[in-house]
Amino acid sequence: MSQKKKTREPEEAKRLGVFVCHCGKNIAATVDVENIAKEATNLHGVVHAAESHYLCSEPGQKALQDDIKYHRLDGIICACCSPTLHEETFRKAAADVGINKYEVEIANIREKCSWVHSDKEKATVKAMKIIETKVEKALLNEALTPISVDVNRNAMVVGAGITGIQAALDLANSGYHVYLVEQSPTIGGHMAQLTSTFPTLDCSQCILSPKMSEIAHHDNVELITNAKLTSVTGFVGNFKAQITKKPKFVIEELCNLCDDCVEVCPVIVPNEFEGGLGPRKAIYLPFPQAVPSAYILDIENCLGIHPLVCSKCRDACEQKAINYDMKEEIVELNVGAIVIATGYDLYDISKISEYDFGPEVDVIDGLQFERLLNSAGPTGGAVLRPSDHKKPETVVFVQCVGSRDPEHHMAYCSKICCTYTGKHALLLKDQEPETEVYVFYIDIRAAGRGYEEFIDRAQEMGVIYIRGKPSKIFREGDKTIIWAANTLTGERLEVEADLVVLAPAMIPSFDTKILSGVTKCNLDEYGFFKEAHVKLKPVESLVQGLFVAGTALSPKDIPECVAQGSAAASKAMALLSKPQLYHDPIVAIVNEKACSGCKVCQSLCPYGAISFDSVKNISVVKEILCQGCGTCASACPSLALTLKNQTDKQIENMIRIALKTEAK
Amino acid sequence: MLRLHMTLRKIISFIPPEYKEQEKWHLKIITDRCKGCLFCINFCPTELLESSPEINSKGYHPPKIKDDMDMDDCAKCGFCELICPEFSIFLEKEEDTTGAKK
Repeated sequence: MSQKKKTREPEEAKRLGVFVCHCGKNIAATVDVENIAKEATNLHGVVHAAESHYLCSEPGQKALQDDIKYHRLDGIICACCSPTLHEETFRKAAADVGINKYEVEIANIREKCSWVHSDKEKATVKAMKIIETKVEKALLNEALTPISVDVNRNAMVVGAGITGIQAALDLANSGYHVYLVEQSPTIGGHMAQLTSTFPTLDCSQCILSPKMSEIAHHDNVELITNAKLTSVTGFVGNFKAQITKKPKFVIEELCNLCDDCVEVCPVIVPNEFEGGLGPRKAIYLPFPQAVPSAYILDIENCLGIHPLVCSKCRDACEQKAINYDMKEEIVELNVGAIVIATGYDLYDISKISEYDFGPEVDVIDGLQFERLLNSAGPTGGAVLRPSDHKKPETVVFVQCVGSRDPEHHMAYCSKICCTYTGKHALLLKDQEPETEVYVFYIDIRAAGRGYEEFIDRAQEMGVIYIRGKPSKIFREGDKTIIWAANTLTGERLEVEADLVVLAPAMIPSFDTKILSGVTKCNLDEYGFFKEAHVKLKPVESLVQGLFVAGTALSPKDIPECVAQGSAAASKAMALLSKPQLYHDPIVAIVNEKACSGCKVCQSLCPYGAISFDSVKNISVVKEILCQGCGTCASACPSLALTLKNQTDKQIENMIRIALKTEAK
Repeated sequence: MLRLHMTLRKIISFIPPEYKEQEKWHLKIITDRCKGCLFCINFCPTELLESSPEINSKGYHPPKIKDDMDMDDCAKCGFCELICPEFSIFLEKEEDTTGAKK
């Protein structure tokens, strides 16, 4: 590959050094390090072997560098801990004294040998065997240069709830151009529906709308609403995203929000923003603070955008802002990093057959109750029964509906229900102190600053907490009956309620599965996006350059969503701030003469790194995407694919050595 | 994205007065004028109409409102009136029985 390789004599002339680490007692206690270091000098190609108490320490590295210089080594084998820990350390130390960093091999004799064995003699034999195989590999290693690629300095955020808004704002304020893509006609997500937020009870809309309007007027943010991400190609630093924009039939720039179109529209449908409790027309503004601030025509419910059938809205619009001829648009964006923040939906309560559900039987979900409490909601903030608009005297809250039920529904805890039910009960008691309020719970899980105290406050206000999960909720006359058992006292209970509020499990939003296919980002067993490492890489995905944040990962509350939005943005910034990205050159290469064009490799590559050149009829590896897993190389029927520094010849030699020692 | 579950797509519990219709409307169908072209049935955006099993004086099946629907389901767009080639269907206000829609 490099000049150095070409000028070098055949492998025999390669001068290798072996450095064995004691790792204090970690290795030395079970492996005879001194003996190994002595024996290693006899190995083919090895001109020098040394031991060190801590090879990774500064003096250890210094000694390593001195030895490399003194013995004019071409490659080194460090027998020490796992390469995930110190491979980069030794590569860097070796590179500083002129060895190509890909000529450094790690023989893992700690995790793979000393830690898992107790017999010193046998462990020493095994450690020697590991070192020998690595020496054999190092003999055939080539000097490689990292692959560099330019970075596109734009970012894309998918989903404009509180998480996406936060991520987009952080990126935009740091000087990066952000495309914020949202599937709904407006940004804001579920947080825009809430009345107030626990535990401080500040109005949700009041803390969200400044951020929303900042997005609307930010020079670095390009807002694309009513749009879906339909395809992602390319690789970290150079993604090509395809966005399908659905037509809104209203020209945003011309609309002056006069409301004339809404008055004349003859179609009344349930408003999804009000959880179906209130109406909207087929042409509507989702809510007064909506961003972008313009009406949208809902084509599913419109009588038909044929001017003959009904063109009442178009005729009423003085601004001529309504255009029936708008078509679906496909936009291609080039971005360097993508943040996914697609949020959550509520569990489908109709799957729980023992609970009646619906406003007609006065059983509603938490988000609908938020709308009842909200002064901008369908009742103007008064809690009324949806069925007969009377004030409820007894209100029952039920937690863990569909969550913490591994046999039938979701096994996980939805995390926020305990606290938001406490909030609902508190707000209701505040509004109507006479109301009898019951909360059925399994356990109260209110971990967070001020959350436990918040639940205590609800209890002090006279909310009755009953430990037990209702077995049946059904309608009888104009009351809704709840059958339950108090698991603390063992009593059976029957409560006649005027209104029942369920707290359903949070589940991944509707299109998460499709989006996972589009972005190749893994999902967990419940359908939430999966992070690269649950503790150390909480917002990274396994796809490089793709970050996930907020409730798209797991149920969480607003502060955590905001924190994750910012975290994902800062991760994206760290990526975008580099002028160039470097990629490990341990990648697959295609021998063009041997490739038969069968495309087996293409279908097997988990990273989408192999494309097909239909002119030459061969597979082509996109080096920047290749992660060096070797799947293609092992599958190729014509042996046309090889992995650099992991060639078949190297692996064969390593196996031969391993087996030979075994035979002794 | 905010999405309504199927079970919530039918009933709207709280309808403010401005959404309620002030006038009552009805469909006046002059059955004997009908020539059974089915335009009103095929073009109704809310699919309110169907062919009646009865036969009129010309031997055609005139339209009627489906049994499971009523005027609340009608969008009052007046397209049936506009499209009828025989002037046999009219959307009328309840108290105003003198003729077609204003």
